[in-house]
Amino acid sequence: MTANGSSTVNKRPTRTGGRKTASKLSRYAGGSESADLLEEAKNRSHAGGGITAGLASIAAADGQRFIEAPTSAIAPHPFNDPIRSAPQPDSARWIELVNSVRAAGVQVPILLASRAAFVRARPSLEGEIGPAALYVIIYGHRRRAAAAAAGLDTIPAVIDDAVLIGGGDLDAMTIENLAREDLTELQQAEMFSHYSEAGLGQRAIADKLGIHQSTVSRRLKLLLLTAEVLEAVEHGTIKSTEAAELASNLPYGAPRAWQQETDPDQRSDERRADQLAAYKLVVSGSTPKRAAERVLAERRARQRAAMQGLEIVDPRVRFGPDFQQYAITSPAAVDGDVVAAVDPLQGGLVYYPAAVAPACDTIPQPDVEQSDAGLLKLRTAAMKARRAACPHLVAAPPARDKLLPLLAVQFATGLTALASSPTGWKLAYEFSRAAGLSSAEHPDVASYRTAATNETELKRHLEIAWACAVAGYELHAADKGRAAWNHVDATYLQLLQDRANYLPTSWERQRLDSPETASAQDGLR
Amino acid sequence: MGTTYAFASLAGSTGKTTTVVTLGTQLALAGLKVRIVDLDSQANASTWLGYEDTHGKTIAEILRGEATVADVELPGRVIDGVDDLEQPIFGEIDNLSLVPARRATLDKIMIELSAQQGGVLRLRRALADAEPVDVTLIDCPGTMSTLVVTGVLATSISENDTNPGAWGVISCTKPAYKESRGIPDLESQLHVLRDTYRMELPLLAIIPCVVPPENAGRVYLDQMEDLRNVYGNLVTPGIRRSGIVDEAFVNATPLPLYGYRARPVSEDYLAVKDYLAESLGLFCLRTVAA
Repeated sequence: MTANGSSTVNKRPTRTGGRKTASKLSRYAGGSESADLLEEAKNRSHAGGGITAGLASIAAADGQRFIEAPTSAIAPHPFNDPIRSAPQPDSARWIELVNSVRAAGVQVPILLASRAAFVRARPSLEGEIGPAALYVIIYGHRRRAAAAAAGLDTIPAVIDDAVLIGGGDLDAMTIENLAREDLTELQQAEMFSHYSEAGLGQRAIADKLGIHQSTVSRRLKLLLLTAEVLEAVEHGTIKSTEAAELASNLPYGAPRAWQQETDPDQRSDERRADQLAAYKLVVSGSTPKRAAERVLAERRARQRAAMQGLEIVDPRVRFGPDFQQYAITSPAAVDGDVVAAVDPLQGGLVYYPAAVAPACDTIPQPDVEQSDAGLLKLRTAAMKARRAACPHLVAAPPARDKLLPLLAVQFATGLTALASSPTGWKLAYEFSRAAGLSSAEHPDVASYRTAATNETELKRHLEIAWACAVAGYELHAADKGRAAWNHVDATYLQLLQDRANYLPTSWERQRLDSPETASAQDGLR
Repeated sequence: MGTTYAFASLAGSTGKTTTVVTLGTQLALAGLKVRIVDLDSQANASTWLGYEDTHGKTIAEILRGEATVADVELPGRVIDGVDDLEQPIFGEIDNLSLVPARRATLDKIMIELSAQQGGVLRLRRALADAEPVDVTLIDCPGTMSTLVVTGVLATSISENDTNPGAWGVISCTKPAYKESRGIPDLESQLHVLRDTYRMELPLLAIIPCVVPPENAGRVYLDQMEDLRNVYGNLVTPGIRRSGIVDEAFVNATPLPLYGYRARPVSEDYLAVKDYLAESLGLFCLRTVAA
């Protein structure tokens, strides 16, 4: 027996039955009828009632502090979109929130960090939270704004400075916001760029937030758009994926840390203008990549014209509706002065002899042009113009539900015979190659046809069928034996205009004006 | 319908995880479909059932609303031996599945749950959507937190009028005042939760674990006596203190499968299982048999 052990035992009072310890255990005495005890349980958790009481006691048990924070002493987090902290009287959800806060108070505590901890973690942002702020919001910007709108002096809040460790405030805000799905894509982009400025790569951001890297990349690119295009994204005028691709081809704005390579021109006014011009092309149906190429080609063309000292003209104004027949292949092809125009489709330069008679002279003399040789020339010029546009049409097939009626008409009117003739296949092959389609990656038309026969994928089938359909349309329209065009040709010209930025020549317009095509065009619209 | 029980005690190291894994295995061996939900950020139940370091989705994703039980659930495993490269060979335990946790991932969730409306009800919702099982055992952490609330509230999915033993809270304790004083605290918390969420959340049973042998000291006998005096028939037979428990944990094998040296403790648990089922009407064994 040790001295220690015996002395302890000796100090204890002797109890009946040989007990050495007092019985201290007693049951919690509350019953559902015991309102007093319930009140006591709630008071022990320093809270006002309802869910708040339960969660407050939990927060206290977790070592966080739970308080009623003065509404006026709470500042929004500078990283949070200011819109979320402002009243939104037009939003039904906002009105609902304010009404519920007015009726029942704020039910779920917001999460705050103390001013001291916030300034310690993010010293550069001290100026943005204002001198009166004692706390900075991590979660609950809308609830705080609603509490202020409802005139509440205080709002239940959990103070947890630990959330700031390692930039965790950004994590907490972003994860919560992403999960709620009501951040706009641009707001997400701003969140991601805060991470990027903190030194994280796109992959690290994606991993941290559990989203796909390509999403991070696409969102970030939105930050390289002009204000006008951004507005169009928010209004849904242009898809955000298209806008991101546009920004990636024609970035505009201050260089960003996450850009793998910055573009020397991205701060220039020219780039701003180019991006806007390309945006307009995208809205009218072009792909972002082609729109960017087109805009850049035009800029290069204008530079070249300036270097060569050529005047840029609008050929339609200068030469009249039949301007295309005057085009020459190079400035050296004619003697005398040359002017240039920008090709509306490709953005390249088209040259014209400056000496050609102006438009006002040609218009009153249509009859002179109606000689057989003249007509043939116009017909051939139109065919060339159409065939130059056909690759664009082949590259831009209509949606599947729109494709079916078009193909049905081709079958019903016998155009498929033209489309699947050797000439039809040849044209389809040439158009597809010019359009850069993967289905046309074959050395010649024979192997293209063989491959088409063995193809099993529907996507490829559609690609090939559409190329053949365009070839069918073209052969039909180019048929010299036909005196007039019909509704099928009208459909074809409409498709060219809608999907390949094609401008019909005046000869084509005349042919389209015949009675049987006019009704078809009305039907199309 | 199935039965759902949360194992909670507002004190650490009272035997919750041991009880969940051992009872779960015994019920599975008896032919019931058992699901164990690991809500403890120490992830000991997951380790014990063969997933010391799981890389897939866990209970954390369920609590964030990013995964369903089906996305996360894994078969309970037991080490059958090692291969040539000293890598363990796992066998599956029939009828036993695990919703695993990964160490440290649940700490952050505690804050998120309190900040989001309805956060503490997500597990209940996820279990309601999951494939039904006969018995769901939820292993809660040892201090009061949103995770305990989450686990306790989830038991009410098995609430029904005909079988009052189908859902609720089971507490584990040691015969010592430091541990057993957590039980009145737990009752008080249950009372607030009942009132807040308008759910019936009964304390169903108290399992005294790590009970020392009779000659270890008078204080333990006193404490067992107090427990039985205060809580009456809620107190089940005791589970003896034994080093084999820690050994079986390290070797990631539930006690009923650990061999003859674990038999005495395992038999204590069989007695507890029978008491819970027959005297307290848990697990709905009688309705299953009928």
